[in-house]
Amino acid sequence: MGMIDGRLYAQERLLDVAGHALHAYLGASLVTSRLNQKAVIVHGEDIMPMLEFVEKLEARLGSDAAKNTFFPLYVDYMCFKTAMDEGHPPVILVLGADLSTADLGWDCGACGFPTCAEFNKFKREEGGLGRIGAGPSCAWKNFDYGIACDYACAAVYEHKVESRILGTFGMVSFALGYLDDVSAALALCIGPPVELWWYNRPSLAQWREYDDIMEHFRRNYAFHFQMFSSDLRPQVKKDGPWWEQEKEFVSIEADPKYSEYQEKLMAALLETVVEVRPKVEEAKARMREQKTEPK
Amino acid sequence: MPRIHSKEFPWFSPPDMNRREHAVEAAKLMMNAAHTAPCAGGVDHMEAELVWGEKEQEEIAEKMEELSYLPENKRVDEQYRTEAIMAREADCILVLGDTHGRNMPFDANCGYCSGPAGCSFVYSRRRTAAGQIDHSDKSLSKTLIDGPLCQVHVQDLGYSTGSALWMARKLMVDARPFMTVGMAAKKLGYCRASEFMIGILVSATSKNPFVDVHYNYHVLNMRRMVDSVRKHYVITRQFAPDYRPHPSKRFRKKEGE
Repeated sequence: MGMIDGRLYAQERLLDVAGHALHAYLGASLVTSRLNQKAVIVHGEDIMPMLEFVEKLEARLGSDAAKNTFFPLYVDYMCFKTAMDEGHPPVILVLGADLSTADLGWDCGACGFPTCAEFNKFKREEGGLGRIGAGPSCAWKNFDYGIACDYACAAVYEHKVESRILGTFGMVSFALGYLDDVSAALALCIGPPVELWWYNRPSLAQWREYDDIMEHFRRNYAFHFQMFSSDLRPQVKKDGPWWEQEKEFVSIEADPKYSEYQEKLMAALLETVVEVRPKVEEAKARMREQKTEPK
Repeated sequence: MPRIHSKEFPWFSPPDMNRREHAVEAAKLMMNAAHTAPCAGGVDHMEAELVWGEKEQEEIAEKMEELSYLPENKRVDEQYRTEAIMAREADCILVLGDTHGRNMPFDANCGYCSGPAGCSFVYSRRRTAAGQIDHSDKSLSKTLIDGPLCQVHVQDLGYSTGSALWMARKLMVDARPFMTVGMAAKKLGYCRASEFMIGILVSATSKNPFVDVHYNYHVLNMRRMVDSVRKHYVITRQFAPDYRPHPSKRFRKKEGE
């Protein structure tokens, strides 16, 4: 006989769900069978370096800069932060793989190279980093990575646990080195046990203003649906009696100042990675000491 | 009350056709699962076609065998021929295609294709107009798949395939994804809006036909065995006397005397 607080228990059992998701991820039905999926469970204090990464960036360059680096990252950061502040942090499953080695010999051309050998040569000489991962990627391994990640998502979904797989925090975990020897990483957030935490995003209501949201729409989608059609330079409509206000137009032009600002952001981003990364290395060392890694 | 009788053998008999139809129903649900899979930005990016029937599957299998003899497929010729048998043995084939990878990059600067900013690795290798890829230009393609493709969409098709396979598991039907089947389906014009395709073979039989596969499967398989037995039996039966003047009881007795 005994009593257990339901919310606390649900929170504790998120790790069990992570375990089931890992089984699905590692045992997914693949096309190449050569993916070598990697994964690590991050929970509790070890999530903090990910948040610290965004916070340090914010401290260094200001709130707007942190938002401008990659806006979806900031949105997801706020989801995390609110969950932590409210005492129900998610468990993060960092799922990764090395997609940048073409060892199938299929020479299919999907990557843009006529042969796998040319792909590998390009990778050695010119491969690079993007916002989320590194390339080039073997299309079939990337496809298999999609299958494996989907299996992990489906396993969590089957348990009716709130979740979302994030490229943003995948990018953060990739940059901070939560997984070694991978070219791609995604963060599958398991929990918190709150309805639609990652979709309707209740946390958004706490920090986004109505005008701010509408302005975002106008800036991003003006040419798709908020304009007068058939004009060469269309007037852009906005919420409210736009016909009573000064007319507004969208212009496309080079903005050296903003370009410089973006470069500054990128430099700050790399500095922050260097600053926070040792903490992740410490956490990994602790994990190895605890022998929680598979033998 | 109507009765539905389901049985695996003889192949294509009415009870077997009932069983196959049920597998097709499962594949339809797999198709839906593929559409509802998680994908980047929730952007619609795929199409699907379900193929079933002896002639239709035979056409895909023959195309796979044909592809196995192309010089560019020399390294995977055995794979093509082995999996062609599975395409014949499957109850149906679910083809999934990525409609966006070639012509409409996700524009996320993700870096999976190679890294340079502005998704330029893809755009610089295509004919473009007004920042859009010209879908009609196939002039540069010298490989089976006309790459480079946007890797966000390729990965998304992986998610769709994963969900389709997950649904198959839930419904207790066997299913496995094959590059070779996708390539053949592409050549035959299935999922016409797609450049990158996968073929998922689906089966509801006692033995999963897509695993426990031995060498030379393309010539040593159940159908060939059955055909071979039929041939040899028909020949062998011709070496026995007429059963009417020589009933077996008397014939055996004679032997015993």
